[in-house]
Amino acid sequence: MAPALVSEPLPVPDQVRDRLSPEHARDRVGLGWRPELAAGIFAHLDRIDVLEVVADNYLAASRAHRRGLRMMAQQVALHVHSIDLGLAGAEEVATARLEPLARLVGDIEPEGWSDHLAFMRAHGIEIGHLAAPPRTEASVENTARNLRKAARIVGTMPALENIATLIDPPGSTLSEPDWISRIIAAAGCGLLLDVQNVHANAVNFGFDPLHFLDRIPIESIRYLHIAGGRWITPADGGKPYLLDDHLHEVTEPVFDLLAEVAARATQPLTVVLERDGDYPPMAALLGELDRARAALARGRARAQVQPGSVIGGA
Amino acid sequence: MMQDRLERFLARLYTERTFREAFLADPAAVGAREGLSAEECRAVAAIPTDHLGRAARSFASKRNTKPPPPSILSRFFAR
Repeated sequence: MAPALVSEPLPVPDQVRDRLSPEHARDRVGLGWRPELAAGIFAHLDRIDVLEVVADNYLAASRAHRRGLRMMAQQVALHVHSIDLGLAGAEEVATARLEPLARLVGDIEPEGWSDHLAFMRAHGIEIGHLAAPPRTEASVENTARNLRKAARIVGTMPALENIATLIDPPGSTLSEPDWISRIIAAAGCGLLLDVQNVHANAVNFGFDPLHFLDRIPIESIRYLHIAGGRWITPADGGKPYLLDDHLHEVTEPVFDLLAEVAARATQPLTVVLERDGDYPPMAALLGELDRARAALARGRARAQVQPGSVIGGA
Repeated sequence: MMQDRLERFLARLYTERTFREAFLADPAAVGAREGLSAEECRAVAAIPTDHLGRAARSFASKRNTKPPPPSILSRFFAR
């Protein structure tokens, strides 16, 4: 593998820097921990504020690996991100799934942990990935019940992530942002806002992402994900759709949405770039982190001078 | 609306090709046979066929993805 090139951070324009808020000073940007990126991450920790570890990869990890993760958590802010719990499903989350996660979180002592607003299985049928459940009052109650159990066993309440879906879940009686808001209110959990997922669902199902942001409790955002995807044109000539694959660079609409969140939020924000394969040189990933920082700065600056949308603004 | 029943139905649609093909051929009949209410049958019958196909392919791809390679953390930390 060719050595990663070192790129300079994108400069923040003076007129933006002058208007940066105290919140922006505490905003952080980081990267999903992937073994393939380990060398590049360690070489550039001065430009990576936070790391996110996928819990599922380490539930059966050796003590040595856990010790390594704990050491890493002492060097850089670290979050644990779980995938497999299915907290938004009708089935009660299994204690046997939560206890290994509790041990991992106890061993590493991360800043926090998270999972998804999804179901993974039903009646023994494993779907294999994150599926959107019907967005109803019943699923609000079931998710809140699962969250309380998870918090009791793991020790802290997770942040919950909105997912990208290729199917508008049938039987829904609530819009996605209203459903998310209801769950946050019912469980008292934080939101891990995946900006790419908002963008993907918006373009695939034809809604305005700004209206989505209007309807979620921005103050509940604990941290954010950004990622890339790719457009797929069906072989039968059907309407192209955006697949959230985490294999491509983050696109400008996602950075614009991130800026919009920064303009609306008053709390410090933490942004994690997710990349799951087809890894570019480290310099390219660091460049994406710089673009995220620039988007946060743009949003914060806009909020200082003119509350309102940063998308399509002057 | 029974979330449990509907999630089981969706899980089968996403993972079982023969079940999905039977559903696409006659959504109302398959829904009724699986115990869905009339309201639930109408809801699942409204799923666009192309959306269901792409979701099923995406889930199948995820299920078939190999587990991640062993962590190289040990190169840095393990003794």
